[in-house]
Amino acid sequence: MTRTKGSLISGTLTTMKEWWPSVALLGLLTLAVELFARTNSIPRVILPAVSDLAASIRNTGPSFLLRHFSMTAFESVAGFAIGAGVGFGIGVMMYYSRFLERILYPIVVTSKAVPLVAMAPLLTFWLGYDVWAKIIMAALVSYFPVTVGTVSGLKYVDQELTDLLKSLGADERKVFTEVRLRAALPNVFAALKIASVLSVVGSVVGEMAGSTGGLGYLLLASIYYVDVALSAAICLVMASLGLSMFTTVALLEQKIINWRPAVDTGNR
Amino acid sequence: MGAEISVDELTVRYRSKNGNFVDALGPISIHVEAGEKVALLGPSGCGKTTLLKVAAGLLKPTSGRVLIDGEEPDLPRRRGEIGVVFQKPTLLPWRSVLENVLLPLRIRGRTDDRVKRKAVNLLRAIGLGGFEHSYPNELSIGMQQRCALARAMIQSPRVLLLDEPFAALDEMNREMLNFDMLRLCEPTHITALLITHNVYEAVLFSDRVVVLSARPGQKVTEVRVDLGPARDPRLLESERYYEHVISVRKALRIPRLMMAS
Ligand SMILES: Nc1ncnc2c1ncn2[C@@H]1O[C@H](COP(=O)(O)OP(=O)(O)OP(=O)(O)O)[C@@H](O)[C@H]1O
Ligand SMILES: [Mg+2]
Repeated sequence: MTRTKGSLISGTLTTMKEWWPSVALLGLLTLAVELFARTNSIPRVILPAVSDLAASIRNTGPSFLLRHFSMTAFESVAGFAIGAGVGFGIGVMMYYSRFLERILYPIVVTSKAVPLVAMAPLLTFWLGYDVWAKIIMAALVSYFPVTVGTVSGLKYVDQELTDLLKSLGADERKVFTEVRLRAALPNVFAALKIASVLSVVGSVVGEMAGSTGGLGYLLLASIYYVDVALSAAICLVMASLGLSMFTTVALLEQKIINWRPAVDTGNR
Repeated sequence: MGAEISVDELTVRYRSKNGNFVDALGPISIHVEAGEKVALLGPSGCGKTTLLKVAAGLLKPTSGRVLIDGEEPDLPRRRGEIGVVFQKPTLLPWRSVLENVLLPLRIRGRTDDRVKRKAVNLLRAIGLGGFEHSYPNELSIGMQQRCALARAMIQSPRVLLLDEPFAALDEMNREMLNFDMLRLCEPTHITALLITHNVYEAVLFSDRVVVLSARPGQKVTEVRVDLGPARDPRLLESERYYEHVISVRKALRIPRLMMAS
C-alpha cells in the first residue's frame, strides 16, 4: 500500500529520517549564532549566544519556568479546543442555513478584523487578570480559520457522492457523517493546524495585556529587566509550545485521514 | 425475478441557472418486460442520464411517468430493488472496497456475516477477489467500476440501471466487463437498462436496442437482438452478431438526419 510522503504542512508526518536536512540546518544556524556571539563583536547582552539562553533558563529556575509554561499551555490548549469546537459548529450552521450564514458571516469577519492586540486589553478589562481572558483570546483567534475551513470543506463535497447516498435512502444525518464530514476533513485539518499555532499567539498576547503569570507575563518581565537572553529563551519556549500543538494535530490528522488519494507523491 | 419498467409519455425539462428552460427528454414511451435487457443508444446530451434518474426515482418527471411493476420508482428504490451504476464509479474514497459494496445495506442498517460473505463472493465473481480491503484510489477506473457494479448488485435488485458504466474503459476491458456482468445477471433474471454510446456493447448486452434522437431525446426506432440469453466471447466472432451491429448502425442514421435538420 502506497502512502503519500510529504511535509507536515501537506498533512503527512513521516519519520525523523526525512527531516534530517531541516534539523541539520537548524543545528548549523545555532552553531553559527553561537560562534558569532562568542566573538563578542556585538555585546553579549544584546546578542546572547545560544549557551547564554540555556544559562538564563537555568538561572531563572526550570520549575519556575515550567509553572508559567503550564499556564500558557493550558490557556492555549483550552482556547484552541473551544475555538475549534465553536468554529466547526458555526461552520456547519453556516453551511446548512443561508439565513444563519447571512447573519453570522459579517460578524465572524468583523471579529477577525479587530486587531488581536487591540482586543486584548479590553478583554482583560472585562474578564480580569486570570486565565479566562487568555482562553477567550486563544479561542477568538483559533475559531476563525476553523469556520472558514469547515464551510469551504463542506462546500467542496462531491455532489455525486451525496446523490449516491440519498439514492440509497440515507437521511441527511447519514449523508453528513458518511460523506460531507469526511470530505471536509482535509480542509478542516488544514484550518486546525493554523489555529493550533495561532492559539499560542492569542494566549500570549492576552498575558502581555495583563496577567499574573504565563510565558507572556514572564516575557514582559524579562524585557523590563532587559534580560535579552531570557526573552529569547522564552520566545523559543513559546515556539516549542506552538510546534508541539501543531504536531499533535498533524499526527491526529494522519491517523484519521488514512484514505488520502495517492496523488502528488512528492515528485516535484 | 425482474420487474417490468414502463416509461409512459415521459418528458423532463430542466431550468438552468440563467433561468432558461432546457427540454432534456421526451416525450418518450418505452416498455421493458420483466427480465428483459434493453440498451438505450443515443447521442450525447439527448437525455439518457435524465431518463435513468427518473427511472431510479431520483428525479421527478415534468410530465408523464415511469412505473416499476406499477409503482412509482421511489418505492422499490427504498426497498433496495433498484441497483444503479453511474457514469463515474462514485465510490466513497474513505471506505474500503468491501465497505463500499456493503454501503447500501449499512445505510439500511442490515449488515451481518451472511451479507458480508455475499459481498466477498460478488467481488470474486466480478474479478475483484483479493481487493476487499483496498481503497478505491488504489484501483484502476475499471476496477472501481466493477466495485460499483457489485454495490449495485448486493441487494439482489429486480432492476439494474446502468449509465454508460464502462465508457471510460478501453475496448478489451470493456468487453471483459460486459461478459462478467452478463454472467452475474444471467441467473437472476434481472431487468436491465443499459445506457451506452457504443453499438457493439448495446448488441452484446441486450435483447433489444432502443435508438434515441438528439435532445430532447425521443424514441426513433428499435432493433430486436435475437442472440439468445447465453452470450459468450465466441459470439463476438459470429456473423449473427455483426448482422445485428449493422442493423443498429443503419437505425442510427435516422437520428443523425434528425440532428442535421
Ligand atoms: N441539472 C441540469 N440543469 C439543466 N440542464 C441539464 C441538467 N442536467 C442535464 N441538463 C441538460 O439536459 C440534457 C440531457 O442531459 P443528460 O445528462 O440526460 O444527457 P445524456 O444523454 O446522459 O448525455 P451524455 O451521453 O453526454 O451523458 C443536456 O442537454 C443537458 O445540458
Ligand atoms: Mg449521461
